[in-house]
Amino acid sequence: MQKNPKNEANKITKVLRTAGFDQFPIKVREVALEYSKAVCPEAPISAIKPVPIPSFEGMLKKSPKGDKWIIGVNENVASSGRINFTIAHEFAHYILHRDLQQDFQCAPKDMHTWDALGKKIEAEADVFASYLLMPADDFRSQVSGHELSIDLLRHCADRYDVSLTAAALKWREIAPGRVVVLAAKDGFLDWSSSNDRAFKSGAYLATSKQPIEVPAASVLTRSFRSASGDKARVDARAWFPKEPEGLEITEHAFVVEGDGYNYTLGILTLPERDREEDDEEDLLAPLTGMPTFR
Amino acid sequence: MASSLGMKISARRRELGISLERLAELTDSSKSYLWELENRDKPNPSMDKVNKIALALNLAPETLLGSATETSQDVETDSAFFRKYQALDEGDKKRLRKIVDDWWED
Repeated sequence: MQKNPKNEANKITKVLRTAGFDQFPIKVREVALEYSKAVCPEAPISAIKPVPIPSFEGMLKKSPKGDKWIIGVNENVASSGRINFTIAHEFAHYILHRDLQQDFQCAPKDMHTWDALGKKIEAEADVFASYLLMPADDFRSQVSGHELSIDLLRHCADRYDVSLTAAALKWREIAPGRVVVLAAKDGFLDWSSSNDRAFKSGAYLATSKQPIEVPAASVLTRSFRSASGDKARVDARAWFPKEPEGLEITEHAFVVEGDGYNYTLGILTLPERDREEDDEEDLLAPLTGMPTFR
Repeated sequence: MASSLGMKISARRRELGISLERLAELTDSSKSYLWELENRDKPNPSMDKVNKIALALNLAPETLLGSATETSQDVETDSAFFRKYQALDEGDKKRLRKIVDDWWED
């Protein structure tokens, strides 16, 4: 039985609201422990334990007896927003995937399948975590009527105690127009993620196919550390050659720095386009890489 | 995900404060090739390339190659979900195994 990540997260949000336990930021540790005990008392999440190993992020592990699960999380290197997201992500595996266990034991034989399945469950866990920590209705009420700015996203990141990148990816989902969120590292795109409208119009960047260089005209090539980021306008065709002439993209850029990772977060907002028809080929190639919410 | 070779190159390059562009010049590579080497799980480069990169980064080629044996899923992945597990080196995998074993002691 497949569980839908959004529905499962929304279900928990409803329970939290009914119980009056829905103040932000969501207390994800307590939620994981209490909710798992309520829905699966025979094998709940019994603890969340620190794993101080650099380059380790998080894991969900079943006890040898099968009577409980433990979430391990590296609390040393990450910001509290990233730690929250990691715990929510591991909690997602518990809610969505703990019954799929048999499948994982079979998978390693076939690395290709493992890889595809692995990517799918990772993406599902990120969606669940995003909705659990940032319910769509609340997020919408925070951003509606406001122009996109790094300060607005910072406000959201603080409210939900998530990273700025997680807030930007959420905004991309909620925003009415065409939006592409991306991460640039050393002048190339590490990943890119278009919302549905942008994707359907052909505005996506297939970062997993080949390295894509940040266009010279983009503000991302010259952005430097600043609390409210950089904003600029650029010819749409600098990023997407197939866009009509004369359109401009608004770019927001923000330098994200952390222990062992740093990149420039970019948010591209594209003007509406009324063209309906699309190349079939475009729609068949969703190779836009895996965004990381941290 | 980056290979352990890629992470070593990237870390050392940053430590020395060399830009991707500069390392590309020093090693007769294209920027995009080096970027992929650092950030993606690319097949190992030729020995000649490894030697050039090691020279530019003032390292022994062996240091770059190291014991980068990417072991496939073994026992401890049977009932666990990991993030970035493959990125851990053997030492860290051992430490992780020890930490996890202690969880079930009590």
